[in-house]
Amino acid sequence: MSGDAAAPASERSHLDESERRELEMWRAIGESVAPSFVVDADGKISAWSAAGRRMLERAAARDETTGFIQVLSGLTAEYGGIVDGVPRDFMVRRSPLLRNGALTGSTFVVLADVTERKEAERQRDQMRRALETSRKLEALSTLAGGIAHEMNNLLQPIVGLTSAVLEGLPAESRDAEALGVVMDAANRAADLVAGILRFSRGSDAGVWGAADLVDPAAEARSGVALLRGAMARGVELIARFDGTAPMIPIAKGVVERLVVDLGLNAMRAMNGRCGAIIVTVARVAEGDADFGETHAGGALIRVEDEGEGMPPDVLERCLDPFFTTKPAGEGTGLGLAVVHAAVVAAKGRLVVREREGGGIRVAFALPAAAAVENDSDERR
Amino acid sequence: MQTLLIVDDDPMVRAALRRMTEDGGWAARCVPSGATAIEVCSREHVDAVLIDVIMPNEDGISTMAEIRRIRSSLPVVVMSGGGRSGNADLLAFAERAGADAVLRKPFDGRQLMMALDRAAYAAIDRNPGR
Repeated sequence: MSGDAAAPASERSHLDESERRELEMWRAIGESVAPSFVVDADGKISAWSAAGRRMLERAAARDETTGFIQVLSGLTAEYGGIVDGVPRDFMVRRSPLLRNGALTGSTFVVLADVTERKEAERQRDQMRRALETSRKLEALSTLAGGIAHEMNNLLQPIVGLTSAVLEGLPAESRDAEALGVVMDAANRAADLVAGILRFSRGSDAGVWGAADLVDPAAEARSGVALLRGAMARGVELIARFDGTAPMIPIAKGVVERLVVDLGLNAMRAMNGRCGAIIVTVARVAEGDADFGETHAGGALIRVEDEGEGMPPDVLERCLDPFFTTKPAGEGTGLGLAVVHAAVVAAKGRLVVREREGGGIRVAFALPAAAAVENDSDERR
Repeated sequence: MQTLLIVDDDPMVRAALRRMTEDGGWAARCVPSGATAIEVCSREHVDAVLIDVIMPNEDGISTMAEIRRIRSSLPVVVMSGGGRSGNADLLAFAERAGADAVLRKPFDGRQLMMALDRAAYAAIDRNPGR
């Protein structure tokens, strides 16, 4: 058998009536079913449905016939094809063809269109992840207060007594050096606790709350000034403030803190490379791909680095609390999560994207003062 | 020598605070609960109070209010490990409730002495007639 299963019956005029009827039936089936093929024992395609023919023709036009045949006879279970110019996902299903109960060596292959199912799965997955993150945030927020209290109580005797004993020691002594290390460790632990607390507050709008009218560029400027001291050799810190950003209602110091946190993150992402870290403050344009629909006219704050970038799986999870790629003990994984929680608490939106030309671009938009007032009016 | 009344349920914290207070040139009087603190304030001479917010079965802020009722001119420093109750930052709440100074744990001796100074001035401001 070769050619369309739907070949005109007239070509086979020697067939008797029942055979002709059978062929008509196959022809109808061939027109209606999904892309399907019969693959011979030696890997040749010997028959196809109408949809299958279109797929073969498309593959041939792009010199991809060999690859396509491999999909039909190979081990892969999925195939990403294009039908009528639209990308579709297919599941490759194979069943051996039998004649009179015996294997013929040929295989019947159907490409089942699973695009909708995959899309639904993807959406479900996304929702599940969002829900998990929000549950994690909620649980952490509750836990954080308790942990902070306990930890800081434990740190009190360590910090208090170490500094008391240190005061009585000659500065250059071995004991003073040893206790200096104890103090450093205790201070790092205190910083960690402070980070957890910031995180739990960030996810709690009421606490960042008591909003002032803040000029984001002014805050970013002082954030950049703080960052200058932290830049490694070979890393240039560039500030691009175009003066268009609107005033935003937010507690004083939050934007500065966020710029510093993102800047330090970017610095770590440079990981010894030379290049630039660019801090931008502007107004969100209506056509902005990330924020145009939600925050047009608001303040846009963006920190880009020319560092190592992130693989897609890391990029996807980088906002999860406690997700870190650093070795144990080198990072808490709270940095971006804290920033994200704070931005969301301020009715803003944050995105992390791969930067063209390498590196990462973290941007957030915060609503302008007028937008927030309108928003609360609507809710009343 | 001035006496600081230290109120904290944790014996390790009390031991640390005693040493820090003494190093700063004060005498330390340590108690483990708000109830004992109120008793001490009504019977003994103390010059300032350093009190923890979260203690078992009581809170430092109510204790502070009770101490104020007995001795309104006494400087009170409220300290906390930064734990939260509901949406409130406890130290911010303590300030609004009238603490003369607040300290976030962990702090060192220098910070303690500075807080005691601040509290002393604030207490004078609160009681201008005295």
